[in-house]
This record gives sequence, structure tokens and C-alpha cells, in this order.
Amino acid sequence: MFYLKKAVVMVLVAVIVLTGGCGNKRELNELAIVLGTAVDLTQDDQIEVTVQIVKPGEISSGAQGGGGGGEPVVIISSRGRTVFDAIRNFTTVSSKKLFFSHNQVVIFGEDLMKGGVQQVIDIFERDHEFRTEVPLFAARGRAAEILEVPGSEEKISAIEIKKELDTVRHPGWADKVTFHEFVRKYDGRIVVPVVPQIRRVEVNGRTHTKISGMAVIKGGRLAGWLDETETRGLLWVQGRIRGGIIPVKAGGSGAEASMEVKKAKAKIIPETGAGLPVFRVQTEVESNLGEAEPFQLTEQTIEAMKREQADIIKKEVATALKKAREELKADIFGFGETLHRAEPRQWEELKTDWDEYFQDVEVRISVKSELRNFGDKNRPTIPR
Amino acid sequence: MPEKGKTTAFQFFCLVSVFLFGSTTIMMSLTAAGRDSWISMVLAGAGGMVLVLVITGLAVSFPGLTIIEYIPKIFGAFPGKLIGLLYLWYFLHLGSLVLRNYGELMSTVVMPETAPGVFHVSLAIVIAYLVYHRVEVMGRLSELVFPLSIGVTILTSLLIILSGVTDLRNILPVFEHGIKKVILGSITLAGFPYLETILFAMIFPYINSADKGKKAFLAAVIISWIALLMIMIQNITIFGDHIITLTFPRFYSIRLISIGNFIERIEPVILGVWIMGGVVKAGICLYAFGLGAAQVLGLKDFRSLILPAALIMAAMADLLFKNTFEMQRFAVDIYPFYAFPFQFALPLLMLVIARLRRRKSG
Repeated sequence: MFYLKKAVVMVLVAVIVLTGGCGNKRELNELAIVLGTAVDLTQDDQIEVTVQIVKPGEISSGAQGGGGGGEPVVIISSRGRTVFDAIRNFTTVSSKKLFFSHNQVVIFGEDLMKGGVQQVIDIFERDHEFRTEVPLFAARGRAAEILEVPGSEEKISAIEIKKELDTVRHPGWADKVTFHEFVRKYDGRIVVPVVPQIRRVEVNGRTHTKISGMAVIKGGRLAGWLDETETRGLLWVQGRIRGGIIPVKAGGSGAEASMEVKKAKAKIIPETGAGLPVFRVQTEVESNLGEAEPFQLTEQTIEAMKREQADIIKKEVATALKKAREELKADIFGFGETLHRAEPRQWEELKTDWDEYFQDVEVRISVKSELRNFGDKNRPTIPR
Repeated sequence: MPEKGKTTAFQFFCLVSVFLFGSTTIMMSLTAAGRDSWISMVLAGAGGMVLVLVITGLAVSFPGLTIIEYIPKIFGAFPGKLIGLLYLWYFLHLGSLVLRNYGELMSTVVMPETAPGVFHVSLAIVIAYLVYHRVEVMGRLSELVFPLSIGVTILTSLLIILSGVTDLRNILPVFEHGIKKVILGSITLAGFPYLETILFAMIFPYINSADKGKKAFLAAVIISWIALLMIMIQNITIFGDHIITLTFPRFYSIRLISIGNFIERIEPVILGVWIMGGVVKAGICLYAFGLGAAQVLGLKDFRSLILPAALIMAAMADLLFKNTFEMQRFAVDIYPFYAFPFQFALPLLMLVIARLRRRKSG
């Protein structure tokens, strides 16, 4: 009797151990691993999803130097009434089931953004395969065409795009925006979200992807584009600049010097009283002297360089501000948000017509500009 | 005496703590107070402390007795049994709600193709096995789970901060929607989880030292209060108001962890620890039901009731709601008011009656 009981227990344990966890198993060779997703709107108002699928065989053979030679990725498109519908329709063209957990980038097409992104963003948060920390991009033209550009430094262009974004955000020509950040701003309705702009360019006869500038998506629709200068103006206000070069005139001689930004911080302080609030933008920037044409380094020239650096930053901010107010009518900086946080009551009065008030409020920009390090050269080479 | 075992004060402390942040961490979203929910959390925790004093006060009046045993002494034999049965229903219902929460989490974010019933039944079998071994083993298990859950809470909080997804300014403005909403929110948060500690009126008599037990009880409530407050504030700093749109905000925020493209996708590990917390919480519900039922029915042992009760719990978890939406509606709009008489009103009334009687006789 005792042994019978033991045997039963052992059989049960064996069943649990041997069959457990295989309910919805998916083997690697049955999966199409998606690394990039592009969403477009077609002429006849359908959603077109384009995915970049990695071919593991090509990747590994390429790494050994020989063999392979085929494309490391496959790009396929599919259409449907919704994003998920389009994804399901992939089954008609792909032999494997798409697997999105390793998706690296999400790109929205221009037509889609003009029509409104609210109809496509839900699945990226709702579905368990998508991850919301992926960076989001706004394509000039069709998003699918961006994914079609072959990678030049990386085998897989989706990964190249992601890495490119990490380098370009350094000088502040574009900024990284994750899906999560985008949705949070879109949902909050106070700060108008921006998304890095990506497009195709020809360089030396080869097609590349270029990331620069931002798209402004107001109320879920594309309101306009920011160019590189305007983007940097925006990022100075938000304190999100991490580096970059500011060329300045040094002294009266017309010699140029490159200021290499090391640190930047910013604060927006709303000042309320009677009438409309006034926003003080305080930006602090600290640079190194990266390069200098021959001129004498004196206290005066250093002061002049610092001053000019501050002036250039102010000018960039002013350009961005002008664009946001006059053309886009969109508070991309988050002035409204600072007011909301500091003076919720006053915000309550202004919030419905904030787009109008935003064009009239006074914004005072002050820049504290510092020059710290001069590199391994205490004066430029001037032949004696 | 269906239960002869004893737990130590420290084991009791672990049981209460794990019980409090077991399923709460996962389900906790914002309340009516929106961004100010953390203030509601502060108030709700204070409510939980009051309940601890009520439970321990009753334990002083009726030493060695569980709530099911002293109810008839207060309200008389027949009404007492009736109220006791209502309590049994509440314990069973709460247990199936806990199972349902976990089934819902697993089938939403981890294994959408597996039927939720699988999770309910497998959890139910595990807790049945646990409760079958009585309060001592439950205490020892919670000693193991407590450091894990507190460790995971601290670790994930740190990793989230290091991932740079938080912004403290998201907490502002404070009191935007007024104090009324904050109080409404605190009612929701008091009902789930703090006042659920009424279940410990079933375990409190089995602590080997009642004095230390009271201290452990209070300490456990305070510890989980701090931990939950921390998690809630962190959730708000990540999402701001957007958190309202999410079903499992903490899971979502753990998925945001990404440090140097190296430490990321750690959620399966965290999930494992959460499930252990769920086992303890659902186990306590099952234990309270089994022991209480044996006491109402006058059985010598409660073990024969455990497996059927666990399976009823699993079945109920399946049948209670048709979908996640219904579950959330119930949790937010109905549960605090439905549970309030069991959690707070009746115990307080009992304490008042017990004190008045003692004054009369003394």
C-alpha cells in the first residue's frame, strides 16, 4: 500500500515535470523576430504595417566572414483596417508567426500622422508583446521606405536607426522619445509631444537614413516639423541638451572658435500675478573650448565667447518659440505644465484656451554661459 | 480546538506584511484622487492602524479565541452563528478575488493563450497544500517570502530610478481636485488592502505571545504602509495621471526598466516573487475560511475542509467576473463598501459592546 502511494506520487510528479510549460511554446525556428515596425496610412484609408524581420542564418554566416551573402533581413508589408488586423494579415505572406517582443523601433508615416495617430497607438500599450520603451520616429513620407533602406554600418537597419538616434541626440539635432513618453504627454494634453524626424537621404550615391529635427504631434495629428535649430532651441528650454558644438566669433578679429557643450541645465519658472503669467526660462550651459582659430586668449575674448554662446542659445530658443507660437500654435516646451504644477487654479482658468494664451504670454530667456576647459593648448598657434 | 499550533511574533509580522503587499503591489492603480492618491494612501494606512488596535483590543477581551469564536459570545448563539457564516463567506470570497487577480495578471501579460482557470486551479492546489500543514508552516513560508518581496520592491524601485523614467515633478500640483476626492480615494485604499487585515483576527490568538503579537502587527502594517506608499509615489512619478489607463501599472513600470541595454526584461523574475506573495495571501484567506468553518460547525479538525474549499475558491475565481473590466469596476466601485461592514463596522461594534459589558460587570 505504501509503495503504491509512492508510485502514484512519482507518476504525478513525472507528469508535472515532463509536460509542464509546453502549453503555448514557440520554438525559435517557428518565430519571425521583428526588429522594426513601420505604420502607414494608405490612399484608401487602410492601415499598412511594414515589419523588418531578421533572418538568423544570414546574420551568423556573415559574422564568420564567408558564405551567406544574402540579405540579413526581410521586409514585408500587410494591410488591414486596424494595426492588429494588418498584423494578422501577415499570416498570408509569412510562413512564421510574427514575434514583436524584440522590436527596436516604431516608425509612423507622414500620412498616418496627418490623419491622426490615435487610431494606432493603443495596441502598442495594450498588447503584451510590444514594449513601451521602444523609441518612436516620425517619417518624412512613407515609414515603410525608411525600413527599406539597407543598413550601412549595421547589418540590420532597425538597429542602426536606434543607434543613430543615440548619437544624434547628443548634439541635440533630435531627441529620443520612447513610446511611453509620447503616450504620457499625449494623454496629459498639456505638453504637446514631439517625435524625432527620420528621412531618406542620398550620400555619395548611397541611400542612408537621416535623423534630424522633430515632428510636432498636436492632439494626435501632425502639426508641423521642427528643423535642427528649432529642435535645439526646444531642448535648451527643456534642459535635454547633452553636448554639441556651438561655433562662436572670438573677439573683434572675426576668428572663429568651437565651443563644445559639456553640460546644460534648464528651468522654467512661471511668475503669476495680475494678468497673464510670465515664464522665466533659465538655461545654464558649460562648455569647453574645442577648437580655435588663431587669436589671443585674453579675459576679454573669453568673455566675448561666453557672451556669444549665450546669444546663440537665446537666438535658437527664440526661433523655436516663434515657430511654436506662430506656426504650430502648440506648447511643445511645457510652459502650461509648469503653470499647472505651480498654480493649478490659474491654470484651470487658462487651460481651455491655452493655445491662444500661449501665443501672448511673455517668455524671458536668460542664459548663464560658462567656459571651463581649454584643452591641451593654452594658446592657439600664431607664427611668431 | 481545530488549531493547536503556534506561530512566533516574527512569523506573524511576515504573514501580515506579505498579505498586505501581496496582490496590492500588482493591482494598485490610482483612485478617485488621481495624482493625489498618495495622500489617500497616507490616510488609508492610518485607518489600517486603527483596525489593528480594534483587533488586538478584542483579543484582550477574548484571549485565545478567534473572531468566529467570540462573535457568538457578543451577539448570542444564533445571531452569532449567522454573522459567523457571513464572515466565512467574506473570507472565501476574498480568497477567490486574490486568485482571480493573479489569474488575470498571468493571462493578460504573460500567457494570454492559457486559460485563466489553469492559474486559479494550480494556485488553489498549492495553497491547499500549504494550509493543510497549518499555521506553523504558513508562518515559516512567510518568513521566506517576506525578505524576497521587500527585496524585490526595493530592487525594482532602484532600477526604475536608475532607468531615468521617473520625474518627481509629476506629483505636482497637489490637491488639484480638492480634499473630498482625496478622502474618497482613501476609502478605496483602506478597503484594499489595509482593512483586509481583519482576517488576522483568525490567526492572532495563535501567536505564542500576545504582547509581542500586537507590536508585530503594528510594525507589519507600518512597513507595508511605507512600501506601498513608496511604490505608489514612484508610479505617479513615472506616469502622472496616465496611470489611470493601465490595468497593472507596476508591471508596466517594471517593463520600462532598461539600464545600459543590459539590465532589462527582468519582469519574469519579479513575477515569480509576486506569485509567492499571492500564495501567502490566498493561503491566509483559505486558512481563515477553513478554521472558521470548523469552529462554526464544531469540528475537531479543519483539514478535511481545505481541499474542497480551495477548489470552490478556484471555481469562484473563474465565475465571479466575465472579464477584467468587471473585476476592476467591482474592485473600485463596489468592494470598499461591500467589505466595510466585515472589515471595520462589525469589529468596532463588537469592541464597543465588549468594553461596555466589562465595565458593567467590573
